[in-house]
Amino acid sequence: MYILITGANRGIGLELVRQCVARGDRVGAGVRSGSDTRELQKIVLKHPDHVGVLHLPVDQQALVQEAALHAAQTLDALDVLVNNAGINPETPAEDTFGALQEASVLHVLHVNAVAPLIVAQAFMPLLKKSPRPRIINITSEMGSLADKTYGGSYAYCMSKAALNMATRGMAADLRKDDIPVVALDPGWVRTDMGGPSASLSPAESVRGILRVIDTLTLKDTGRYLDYTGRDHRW
Amino acid sequence: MVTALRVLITGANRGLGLALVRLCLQRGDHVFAAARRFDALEKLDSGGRLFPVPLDVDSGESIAAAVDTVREHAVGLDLLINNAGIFPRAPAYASFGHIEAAALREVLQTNTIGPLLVAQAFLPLLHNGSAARIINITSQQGSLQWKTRGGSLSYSVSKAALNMLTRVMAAELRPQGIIAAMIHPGWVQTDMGSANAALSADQSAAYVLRIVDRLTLEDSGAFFNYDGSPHPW
Ligand SMILES: NC(=O)c1ccc[n+]([C@@H]2O[C@H](COP(=O)([O-])OP(=O)(O)OC[C@H]3O[C@@H](n4cnc5c(N)ncnc54)[C@H](OP(=O)(O)O)[C@@H]3O)[C@@H](O)[C@H]2O)c1
Ligand SMILES: NC(=O)c1ccc[n+]([C@@H]2O[C@H](COP(=O)([O-])OP(=O)(O)OC[C@H]3O[C@@H](n4cnc5c(N)ncnc54)[C@H](OP(=O)(O)O)[C@@H]3O)[C@@H](O)[C@H]2O)c1
Repeated sequence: MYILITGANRGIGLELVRQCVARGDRVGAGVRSGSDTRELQKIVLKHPDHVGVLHLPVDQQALVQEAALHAAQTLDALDVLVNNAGINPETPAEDTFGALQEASVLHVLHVNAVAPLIVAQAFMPLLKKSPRPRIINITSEMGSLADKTYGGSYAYCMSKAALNMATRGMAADLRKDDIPVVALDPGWVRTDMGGPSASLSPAESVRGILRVIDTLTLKDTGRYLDYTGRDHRW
Repeated sequence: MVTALRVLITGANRGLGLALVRLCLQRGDHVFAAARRFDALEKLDSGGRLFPVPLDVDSGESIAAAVDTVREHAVGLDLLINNAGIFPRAPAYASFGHIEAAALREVLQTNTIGPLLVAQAFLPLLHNGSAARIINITSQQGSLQWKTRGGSLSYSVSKAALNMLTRVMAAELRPQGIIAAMIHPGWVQTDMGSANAALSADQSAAYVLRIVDRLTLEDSGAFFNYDGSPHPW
């Protein structure tokens, strides 16, 4: 299968590239200018036929559309899109009531919730050419309204709830095209974002994510799942 | 008998906001009517309890100026109703396949960031209020469970984010004795809801105030349907 992963140069995205390549999938790895791609390039060097690097700064619609047009010239179809790129800046401007700054909060909303819609939209022509297209939006348990009974992390929580809603909307719209769309919580993972004390290694999380991706059908569309495949509370 | 409240309502010059102003005035509240225009408000019989507050929720400067305006008249606020909102239906806002990031940002700015900045700016005044309440007027369209039909993308996304904002504020402000809750006002006959809607603006406003009057700190963080029942997330 051909899988496109945004934010593919570190963390969960990089591990997804690794495991997909290891099992023989073809991978489009989305990065942006300024991304540290050293680890990714090591994989590309070993498997040049299996990994292609795309310039995909997800919060810049014009460049996303350009990347999609470019990809359409070289690819037959896209089977899986993983909207993985995300940010959680954790400064008072995003996290602390009283210090919240509109530009900072809006930026997190843009990268985490608006961009996945824009990326999916841009790659829709290629997805529609696949016999079994799927869209996975990497959300977080912090997007759960039911579970949000503590303060802080304003922008990040808002953005992931917004992403869950974007997932619901896309799922409804794309049902007619037989394209399942789900929101997937990867668990708490030891990455730059998750920090060293997180409970899962990237490898464990990604094994779960791939199991979910492999078994996804239209019956699942619109669900909010965790990396073990269980439903998360809204 | 309900004691008179010091209330601030955004988007107060038409629709649900105007109906809320009218009802609050009728029952004796002091109403800070925050709006970008005042033509409809000027026609209300105010009994000297209506204070026009120029406010564009898209502008941080306007919000700061609105706080100053309110401070000229009151040392505290008991109720803030974030009611101002937009629901643009052009494909760039609403339809997958045509979404413009800039359009989505615009709706997030007004429907989500607006209430955030307003609540944040008025927090000191709310601290001086009695049993202060922050009500965010949300929508069924912001309910994840309810959202099984396509379209209305920006609006739904903005209201889901607003709901999460309300949850976080509720958790954080509870120890300070301030209540935050979200209400779906029903389908209302306004410019937004159209003339075909189920409830008149006055009916919806009455439902909203009934919920507001009964709110306790235990309800903080709840999502209410207009009839007072819990709304699914
Ligand atoms: N780690 C956890 O515990 C955890 C838990 C729940 C959910 N998640 C979610 O999982 C996803 C991956 O997180 P992670 O832990 O792997 O984070 P990470 O290590 O911080 O990596 C984030 C990735 O996103 C990319 N990115 C950020 N902004 C971008 C933009 N505007 N355009 C393109 N790429 C961009 C980064 O690229 P650069 O290198 O160029 O910055 C990087 O590749 C995120 O959506 C996150 O919210 C993580
Ligand atoms: N009507 C329904 O069926 C329905 C259903 C569910 C939820 N709601 C929610 O209920 C609330 C009120 O809606 P409505 O039906 O009364 O809508 P409406 O008739 O369209 O009125 C919207 C109000 O918001 C104000 N507004 C918009 N952008 C603003 C800004 N940047 N700064 C300040 N004020 C701004 C408008 O002021 P101007 O006159 O200056 O434009 C107007 O007063 C909204 O939050 C809406 O999402 C409505």
